[in-house]
Amino acid sequence: MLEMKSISKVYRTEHVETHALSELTVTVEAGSFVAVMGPSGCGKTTFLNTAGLLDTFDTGTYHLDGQDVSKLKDREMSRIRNEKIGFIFQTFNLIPDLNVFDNVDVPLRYRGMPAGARRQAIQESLDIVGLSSRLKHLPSQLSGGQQQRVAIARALAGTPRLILADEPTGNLDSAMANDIMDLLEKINETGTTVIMVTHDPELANRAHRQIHLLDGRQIDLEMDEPVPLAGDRAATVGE
Amino acid sequence: MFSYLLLTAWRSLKRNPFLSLLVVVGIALGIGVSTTFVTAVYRLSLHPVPEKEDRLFYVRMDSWNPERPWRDSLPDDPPDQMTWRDALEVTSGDIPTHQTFMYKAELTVHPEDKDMRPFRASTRLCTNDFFALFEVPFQYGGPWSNAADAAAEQVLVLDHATNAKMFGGEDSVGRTLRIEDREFMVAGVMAPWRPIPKYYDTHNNPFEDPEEIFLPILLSESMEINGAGNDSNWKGYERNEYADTLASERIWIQTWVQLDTQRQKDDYAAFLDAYALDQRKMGRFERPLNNWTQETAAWMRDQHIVPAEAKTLLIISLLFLVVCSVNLIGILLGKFLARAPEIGVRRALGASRGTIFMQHLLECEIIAAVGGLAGLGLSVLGLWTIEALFVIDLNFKLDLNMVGAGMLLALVAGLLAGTYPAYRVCRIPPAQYLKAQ
Amino acid sequence: MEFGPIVRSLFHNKTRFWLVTLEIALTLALVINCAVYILDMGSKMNRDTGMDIENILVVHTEPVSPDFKDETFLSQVRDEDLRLLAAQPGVLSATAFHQIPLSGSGSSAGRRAEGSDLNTIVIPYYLVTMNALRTLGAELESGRDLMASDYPPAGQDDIRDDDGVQRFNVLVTRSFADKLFPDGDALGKAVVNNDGTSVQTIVGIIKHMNNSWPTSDFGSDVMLFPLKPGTAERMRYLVRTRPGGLDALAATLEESMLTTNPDRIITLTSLAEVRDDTFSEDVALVKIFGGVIVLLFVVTSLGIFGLASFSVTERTRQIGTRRALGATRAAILRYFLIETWVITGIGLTLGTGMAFGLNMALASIADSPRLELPLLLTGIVVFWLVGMLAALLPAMRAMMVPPVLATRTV
Repeated sequence: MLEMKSISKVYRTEHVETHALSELTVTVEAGSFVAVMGPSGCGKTTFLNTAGLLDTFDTGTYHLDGQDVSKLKDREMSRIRNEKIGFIFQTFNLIPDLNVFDNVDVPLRYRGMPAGARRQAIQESLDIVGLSSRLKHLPSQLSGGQQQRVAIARALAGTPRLILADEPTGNLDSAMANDIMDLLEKINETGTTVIMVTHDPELANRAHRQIHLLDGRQIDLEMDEPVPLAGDRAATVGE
Repeated sequence: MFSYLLLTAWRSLKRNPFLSLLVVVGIALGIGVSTTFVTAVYRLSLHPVPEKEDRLFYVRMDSWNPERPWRDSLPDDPPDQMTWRDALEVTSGDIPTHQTFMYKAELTVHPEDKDMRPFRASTRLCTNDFFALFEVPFQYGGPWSNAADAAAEQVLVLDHATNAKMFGGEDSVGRTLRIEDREFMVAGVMAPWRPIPKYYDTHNNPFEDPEEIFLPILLSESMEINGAGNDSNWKGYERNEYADTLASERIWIQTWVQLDTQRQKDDYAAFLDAYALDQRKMGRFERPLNNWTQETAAWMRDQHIVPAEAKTLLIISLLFLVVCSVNLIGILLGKFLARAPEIGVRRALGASRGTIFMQHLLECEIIAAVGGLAGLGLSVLGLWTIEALFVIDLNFKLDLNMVGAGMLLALVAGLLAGTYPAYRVCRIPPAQYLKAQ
Repeated sequence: MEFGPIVRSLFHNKTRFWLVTLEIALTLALVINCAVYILDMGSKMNRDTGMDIENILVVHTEPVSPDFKDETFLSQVRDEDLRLLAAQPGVLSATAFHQIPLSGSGSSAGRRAEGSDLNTIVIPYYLVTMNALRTLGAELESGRDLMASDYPPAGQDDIRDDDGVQRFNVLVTRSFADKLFPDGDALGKAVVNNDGTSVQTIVGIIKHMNNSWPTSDFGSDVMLFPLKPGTAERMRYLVRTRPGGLDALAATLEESMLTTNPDRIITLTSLAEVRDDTFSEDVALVKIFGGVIVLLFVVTSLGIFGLASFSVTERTRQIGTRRALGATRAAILRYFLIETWVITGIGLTLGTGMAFGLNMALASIADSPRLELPLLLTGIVVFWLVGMLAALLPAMRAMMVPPVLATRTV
């Protein structure tokens, strides 16, 4: 599904040069459930941004679903994001002025689907996440877990081939987190590839495979080795 | 603390100068436009002699056609000028403190200096009480005497500009001036005098200059002077001689009286009615008794000195200020809410809601004050434009009144516009914006 | 096009939305009510005067010698002037008028149809010497022009018959004729004053000309009297030249006329200038109302621009998210433009009601002209365009927001 070879990305400011990704080579098979882990600053988010075509990279090649996406124009990248990828953000990123229905509707509109097909797709994906009874609610009227589920429904609505989840349970309590992980597993079972960035080793264990990043490159760790804990937790501030 | 708030407010204004400028311009325009029209309408409706206006009265008598009122649209109003014979009679008593009857004409002045061509001077024929009635200031000499009035002597009063033109601005009392075919002696020279509007005779152009030359009105008979103002008549007559016009029902004379006490007012009203009834016995004044001594303010209202369009513009300009204020609320809301994270931090560091509110309200008032000053400048431009376009002298001054009014408007507008946004922003809970969102 | 979600989202964002719509509504109401004045005055000023005003010279003479008090002398001077004027090169016709059309000064009388018992109506009139129509360039529609025999003998202007009634043949405009004779049979009929002592028979009907008060309700009502005008105070002439001949005539005329009789002050102006002068106040008002309209548009555009800017800044994360979900740049641009379109549309709908309301209030307080539908529709279209333009820049800025902002955590 995803083939990155020697991907490098450098952020340059006036004073500092940050190598977010350093010759990163990653391969993810279609249908797998992969957890991406690493200490803060290791490049997890940058990797996800690159994988999801949210950001460009400097050197290397990237094949997504067999297609070379290195030099695509913005219009084509948008299309791929719309049709092939589903995003789940740590901060949900639901549009606050829209109700549940309209939020899930957003990517479908960009696909130019007719109204009837859209309604059906929205209904189905909300069924999957179990929120079809709250079509008219605003995000402010939902709990964190419910909001994330709507976000997942939004990601699913267009039947993507790849789900990219950035700390999907980072803002949720353990009960809700569990529900979300169940959902992700369920989605993966239908054949969708899931790549999840997380710092929580328990959650990571629920994935089939773990990728560890450090300083912008992949490091090898055996799956049954304890994952380094001390000082590496990416803490969430507030709540 | 206050100075800290002021400093914070100032800093936040500086941070986004373009936007702050936008906001200031918005208020400045609103204040500028509304102050312009408020001032213009105020000056147009201003009463030139406020201290005297409830003692000055314009006399109107209904000597009109028994079959039809003078104006169909104003059936209860007597005509706005009088006949010669009526004016002469009703100013011959001694009830008013001062009284005059008058009209305007154009007479030819023949300068002694042969290099100057004869010219037509705007002339007012009146009695000498005119000058006391309207408190006309004199530079040299004074009005002609009562005797000169009664005997229709050939004396005159010059206005300041004409004296400058004919006599170089010197004391010309006693010198002579040739008008039409007669020699007149100068009895007095007026100091510069320009009532705005020219309330004693608002016909034709209520904002024109007063007349250049003043003559005793009884000269009309011997000089057979035709008026240059408005005239109207409902009853045809054979005009063989000038005297026929003086005896006719033609209305062309303005009559003013000064009544200081209530006793005078009552007595004069009775006098007018008695005269009208008397005339009725001779076949005149057949309409219902309707004599008015009209207060200056009411007279000016009747004359519609303030054009209807000015009222429209006044209303529209005030609504324009409302638009600017609404504009401001929206922009301020956006501006304030956009810096919610900073507010969250400040609140977390201990700023109370009241403090946040005051900080933002102060910011609004700074903007309003600057905008108000700029707006006053704009309104001066606006008033100059109006004066130029209409060729009129509004005689406005950027005095304490005008500046005070403009700044007050601005401050109030700032308050109205800023209260809601400041309220909204101070209600932001501290925690909400401290985590990454 | 995502109308549904956009409209729904606006209703959830109440305050800001209502503020902009209120502002747009109020601005439309004000703009429209200024425009009614401009249209009203514009139409009054552009109306055809019925006269060849570009080529008519107005000659004011003010005698300064008492000789002019003598009727005979006056008459003599008048005749000499008319001969002189007619003989000037380029002159088509010259006539003495006692007042000047379009000048704002004039005389009027009250007349009703003979035999009718209705009230008299206002009829502005001019005392004229021969060839008045030719001098004015006005067209005779029916009947005949005034002739020499229509004029009373010299010195007998006030001639009356045995019953004490004054009688004249006159020309009137169709506008006036129709008011007194709605059946269209005015020719040959007579009009009388209130007590019947003055009777005028209509021998000719002028197609159209303005009197001294062209913008009034009776601005096209005129009666031309065969009575030679001129007093000891003033004598006025209108002189019509061939096209373009006016300036040449004006250059030498004063001197020529003073040679005939030097005891007078001569002022020359053109009828076009007279008209401009009469309209100068209206023109000034048009400029002022126009200025206010411009300011209104400026302020509201700034407001829309400002709000749109903020709205974009505030929603950068949302824009990033939409891009992440597959929106192209064009789709983002379209979204923001449609949003402005909807807001403006709602504001304009509200504004229509306000425009009518304000118009009615102004009509009763300040006599303002009425609002007509075509003006309103034009205003709405213009406003819509202005609104879209104002929001264009912020929308384009929105379009450039990169998708990566969806994941940025600052």
